[in-house]
Amino acid sequence: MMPSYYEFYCPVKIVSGYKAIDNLPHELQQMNVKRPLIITDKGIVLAGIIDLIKEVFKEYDMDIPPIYDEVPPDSSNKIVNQAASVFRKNNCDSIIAIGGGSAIDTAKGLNIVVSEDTDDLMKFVGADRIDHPLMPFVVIPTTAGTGSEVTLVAVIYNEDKGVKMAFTSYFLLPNVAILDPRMTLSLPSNITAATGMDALTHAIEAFYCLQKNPLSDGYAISAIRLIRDNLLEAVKNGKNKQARLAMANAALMAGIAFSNSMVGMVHSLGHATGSVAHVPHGVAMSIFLPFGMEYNLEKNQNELAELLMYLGGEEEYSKTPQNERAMRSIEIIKELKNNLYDLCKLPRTLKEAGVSEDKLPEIAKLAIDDPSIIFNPKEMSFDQAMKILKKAYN
Amino acid sequence: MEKVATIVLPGTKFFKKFTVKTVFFILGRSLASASKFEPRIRREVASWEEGFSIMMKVLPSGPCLGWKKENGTLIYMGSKLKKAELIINFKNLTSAFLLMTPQVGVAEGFAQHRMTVIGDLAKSISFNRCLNILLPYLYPDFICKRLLKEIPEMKYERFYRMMYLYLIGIPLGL
Repeated sequence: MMPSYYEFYCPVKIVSGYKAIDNLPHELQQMNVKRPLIITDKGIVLAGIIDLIKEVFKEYDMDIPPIYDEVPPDSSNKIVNQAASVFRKNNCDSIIAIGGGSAIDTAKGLNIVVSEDTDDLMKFVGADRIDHPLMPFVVIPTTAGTGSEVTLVAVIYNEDKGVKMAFTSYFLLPNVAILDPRMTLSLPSNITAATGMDALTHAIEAFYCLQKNPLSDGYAISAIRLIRDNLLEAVKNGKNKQARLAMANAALMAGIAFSNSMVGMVHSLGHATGSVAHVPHGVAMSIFLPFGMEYNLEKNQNELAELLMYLGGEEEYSKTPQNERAMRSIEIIKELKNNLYDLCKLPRTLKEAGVSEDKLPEIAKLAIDDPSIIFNPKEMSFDQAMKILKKAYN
Repeated sequence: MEKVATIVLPGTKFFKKFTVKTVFFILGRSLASASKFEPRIRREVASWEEGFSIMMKVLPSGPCLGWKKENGTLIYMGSKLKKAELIINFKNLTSAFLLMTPQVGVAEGFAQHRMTVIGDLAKSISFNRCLNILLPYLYPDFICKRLLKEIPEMKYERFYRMMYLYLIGIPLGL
């Protein structure tokens, strides 16, 4: 159904393809920047990706930029401040994030701190607190999942308060996103699976949550199709460049979709589970996705039924009776979870993810305060969240 | 001489502005009043720190409405607040009118980008829950169905609380 009103925004230049990374110096020149700071983590350095980047700069006869590689798996305000002091010490004028969600979110936080010339990132927590463009910003994702290279959101852990804080602003969107399959070739199968399920969750929630619109639907559908055709192959055969590039594009498209239509309770539960029990985001998404779809079934029967076309293909769609299509979509997700468990032991339940049962009330309490819950089609109270968590536990 | 530009003076939509101001007054006093007797709203307010303030504002310089937490309950501040910890900005008068009349619910309003939030997003969700609990005391079910994802469960007390709000809470500010 056509929404009575919607907005859509994605000004990010996309550079996608094998050896796309070779265009990085050219893109920097186009933005008229001289000294970027690279934000990354030790894993990326060890995987040889930074060496690849250095080669690209050498070939272009450009100075190799300073590198901050201390980003931990969960970014924090203190890490952002550390990176900011490196940025200032080196007189940098732009930022390149190379990594997964944590490196990209750290770079977004850094961009706020250095552009606003402050040491207190928390002054900008929440929505729309930035009122001018930030420093030029390039993102090179090394996982295919978060879609952070095209989203207006950063989630950064507040070490003083012990909670994850969300920052949203259109000014957080990068200027350029570069997708090169070489960035994800060495990704282990379990991370490929978890990040792929994260992308799938973005696309599916974008397709049925309150802010959905015809443009976000287009991106979500394309992302779901690419994930359907490439996720298992990328997990089984990580060196398959075609599958890797397809997954990188799927994650990006799912990112554009959810950045404009937002996500719902699967993310609320996932963010809370990440905060309380430190379950990786993609793993949490994979666990909660079918439960979230089931929970919203009564309000989104039509959308979930339509999803079968993209999740299962035309043949599956036409042979399934109309009144069973929505349930079949959910079953396909459950089957995918089982396949991924068989291939790489991706946890299917909270118990398999190592969450202790006594943490569930704390997770439920945080989940109902998560900002994404407002865009979920159905209300979720503490008791309802507890019911879902108990179902997802075993 | 050729006319190259016309100076456009800001227009004033008196009816819309008056309606938004009136509903802001009703909403402001009723939420403050309900924060004293409605247990679920009290629970939400209890989770905010003392002195916490909330403001609803129509951009760029339209009507505004504020509350402040004092002694565990919300105090109606009218348009006295100059700044607040949580600010909900309506992008324009039409957006505020649609939400206040009430043709569009809060969740739908956010989905349509009609408002922006400045401040702690978790608190904005808690504040939204307060509004969701309050609305069935202000409007009949056929309106609430349009505004809310689901109507919170309420028993016989709904009628008495509705009466209290309309006869005492809103007119007397108690």
